[in-house]
Amino acid sequence: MTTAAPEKSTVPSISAASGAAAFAPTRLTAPKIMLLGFDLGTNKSCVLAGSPGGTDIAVSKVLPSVVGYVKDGIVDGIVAGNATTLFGEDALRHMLHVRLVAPVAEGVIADPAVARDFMRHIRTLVDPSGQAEIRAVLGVPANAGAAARDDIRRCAQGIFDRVLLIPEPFLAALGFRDDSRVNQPNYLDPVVNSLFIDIGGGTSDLCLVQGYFPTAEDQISVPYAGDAIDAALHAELDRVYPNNGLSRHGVRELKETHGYVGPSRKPIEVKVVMGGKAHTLELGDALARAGNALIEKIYPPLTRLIERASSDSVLALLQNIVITGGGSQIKGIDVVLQKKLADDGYESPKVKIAGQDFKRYVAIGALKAARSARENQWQVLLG
Amino acid sequence: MSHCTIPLPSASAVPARPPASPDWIGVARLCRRICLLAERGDLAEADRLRTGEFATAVAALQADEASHALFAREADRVAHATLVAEQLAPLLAARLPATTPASFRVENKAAPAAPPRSRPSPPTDLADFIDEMIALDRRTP
Repeated sequence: MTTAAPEKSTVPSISAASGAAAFAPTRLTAPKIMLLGFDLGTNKSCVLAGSPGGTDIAVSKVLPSVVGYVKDGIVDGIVAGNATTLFGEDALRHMLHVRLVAPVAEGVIADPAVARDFMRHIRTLVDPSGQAEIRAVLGVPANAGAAARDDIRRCAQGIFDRVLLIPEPFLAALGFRDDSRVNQPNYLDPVVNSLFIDIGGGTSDLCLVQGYFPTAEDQISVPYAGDAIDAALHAELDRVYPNNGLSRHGVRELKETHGYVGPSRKPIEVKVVMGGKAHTLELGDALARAGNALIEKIYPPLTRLIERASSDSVLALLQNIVITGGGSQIKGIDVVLQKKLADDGYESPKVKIAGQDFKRYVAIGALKAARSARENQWQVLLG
Repeated sequence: MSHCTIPLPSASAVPARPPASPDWIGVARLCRRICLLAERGDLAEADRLRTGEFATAVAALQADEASHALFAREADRVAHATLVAEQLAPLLAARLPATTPASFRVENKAAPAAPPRSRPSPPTDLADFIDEMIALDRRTP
């Protein structure tokens, strides 16, 4: 809403969008506001953007969290537009010609300069004109301390105009929530009573969400997730098949295609090309060991959080354990965790996978939060 | 409390102020009040002041052009003051119990331990959740 100035006055008008910080004389136009829900993940990031006061999604993108700096001496025309910096899939596509750098490791900023480049790219995706005021809700790992949060703010300075940092598991619950069913009597609202397990690349974050903003005691972050499984699988393959020539990226692809937990399944045979020749590798045991290590890491914090719930709420909570993030795609992870809980005597546990939109729930929740945030809740970043 | 250092813009980014006559000082105060109301989200009251009392004062001084520079400067000051207050408030709140005068301290060794504080009723909307989060952040050292 913009208030029109009196007919013959040049008294500056108020921009309703941003309070005093965006106060503008009538001769300047108030900037358009774009809201951004941003899940800056270790391996994959998700961006959702839309205008305030609506339900539209103007931008929806999942992209690898990687920046590629073109190496010196690359022939003109090899990289489209002779770009010097590439992002996401473009960077991976040109991996032979770029130095690939990850902005995030284990859920926190690893390289601030690279993180800023990545955020600038995100800003360009959301607002190609560069004229809009960008208000971003960013997901942070459950255990992110003050220093990690400050790192994110510093990286966002001068790129996003206002930010809110909110723990990722809570955002995942918010994103997963079906708003159209909130008032239905049989609906298990994940924001009212659930336990979310967000298995990402760097960390596995578990969070008890019971109608209140989760405290530090309601959240546990385990530094064992997708990347650790890749490393374990890679080490195992190197042990069984020395000189296999597999890159970490190649191992990750094998995990994403064949990964599972539970009893060993054999044979799982895949063809890989080593030194130009095709070889068949049997991966059943290696995949089982790598996947089951994740179960061993996340099961104890899962039970600790269940035991925090009150006796009035725990039975309903046990029916609403949700796994999201890339790790939710590991075959059998819901069944194995549910069986472990049942075998340990927990009453009728039900563990479910968040579904095909698992990559987007944190960003969906972040955009919901952005649309609900009040003016005075946003943190203004000057610079 | 997080110690996020946010750089302030240089003085050269702020427009030069007009002569400080008593009437102009009054206009500047009005302008600051309008900016503060806008910063707090009370746009209706801010607009009422702007189109009423402020417009009248500016017209009387024939200072339409100078009022633009004034608004830019005062909006800046209010935004900075708000940021500083947000940073300082938790620090001051943390110090308050230690500086309570002796006459206000009550020792009651016989009193039983306070029961665990029951949680307030759950927030009804998402903005209330965010308020809870901000309050938790400010309480966390």
